[in-house]
Amino acid sequence: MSAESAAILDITGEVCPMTLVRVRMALDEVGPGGVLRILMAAGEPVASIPRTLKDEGHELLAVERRGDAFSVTVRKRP
Amino acid sequence: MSVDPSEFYTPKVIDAQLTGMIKTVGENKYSARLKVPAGILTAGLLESLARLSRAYGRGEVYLTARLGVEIPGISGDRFPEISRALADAGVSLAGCGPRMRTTVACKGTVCPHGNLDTFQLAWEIERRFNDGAVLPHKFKVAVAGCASTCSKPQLNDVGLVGVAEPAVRAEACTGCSVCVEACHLDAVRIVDGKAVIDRAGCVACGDCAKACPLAAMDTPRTGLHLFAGGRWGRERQVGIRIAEFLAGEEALDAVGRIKAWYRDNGARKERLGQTVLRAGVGRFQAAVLGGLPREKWTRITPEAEAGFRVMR
Repeated sequence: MSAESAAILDITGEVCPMTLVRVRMALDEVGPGGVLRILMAAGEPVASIPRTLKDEGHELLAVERRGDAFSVTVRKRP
Repeated sequence: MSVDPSEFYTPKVIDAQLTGMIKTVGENKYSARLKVPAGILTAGLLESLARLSRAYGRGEVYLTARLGVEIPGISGDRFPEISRALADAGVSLAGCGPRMRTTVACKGTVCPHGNLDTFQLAWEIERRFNDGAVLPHKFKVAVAGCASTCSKPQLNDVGLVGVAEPAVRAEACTGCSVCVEACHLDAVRIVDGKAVIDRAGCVACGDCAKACPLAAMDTPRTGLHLFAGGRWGRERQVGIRIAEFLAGEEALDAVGRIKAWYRDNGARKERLGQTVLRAGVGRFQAAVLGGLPREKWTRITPEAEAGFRVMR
């Protein structure tokens, strides 16, 4: 699956801990090696979620600011 | 079970068996204060606490404000018995009175913000320095893993804080600004598409470097900041930073030197912060940091010295 056809998850309306819970549920849906694009609010979500994904062995493909939010594209670990 | 007072109230036995036995009001009972360094209880110890609190107390334990545990409801005539039972369970009575108290630590070892193995450092401080010796007054040490200082090291007689000073690897930085979001103090900005750290505003918590998704930040300078003279209560004093970026052994040495200096220079019923004010911060710093490279001594500014005062 390419980054262009990635599944999209919007957690800009969530707060901790549901931000990470939603990410985990969405990652369960994509297969190993699959790509997920996550829209998250600035502040605490973007300070912690990309780091957690990296720590758990997933590959961060892109992190971009989109106004007050961030788009984080991640490839699930194989 | 009765006790022969002549056997019980000798200084040796008092030290071994009475320190940490706190009289509780409204009953002729005592609370056994136990040493729980860094606030970690094993499952085995929890089982022992349950058993001992039923056997010697009233089936309750109290959590103290410094992460300790007390077993209340103990009769004085059962001290020797419970002392032996506690020793068998692998736990000892904690300090009370004018002595060093059990070292407190935050969960820096496992916390995502932690820059330091706080458990290990707290245990090492206990092992080396908490000998039960009598001091001018109580003497408290706290360890924190980062600048959030959840364990309040600045409000203890000695405080150690794990720090990690960030640096940007500009060639790897894409200017995504996650670090800007991670900084609690607005000390990171994006300038010309790259992260730039404002040194004056940075407290070396390291959160920006931890958050960086691209490993475009390192923390080349890490270690421990050392605070001294803090206390809380009827009078308050915020500890003053006297040394920075210490290695673990340097920090442990400093704790030992501070405790010895306090023992030798403190007046009775005087906390370290008061002794330091009497002696002068500069003289104290020179006395306890001797041998440490000068670049690790914190420069004591007039503002810092003015802030190190007794508040009521």
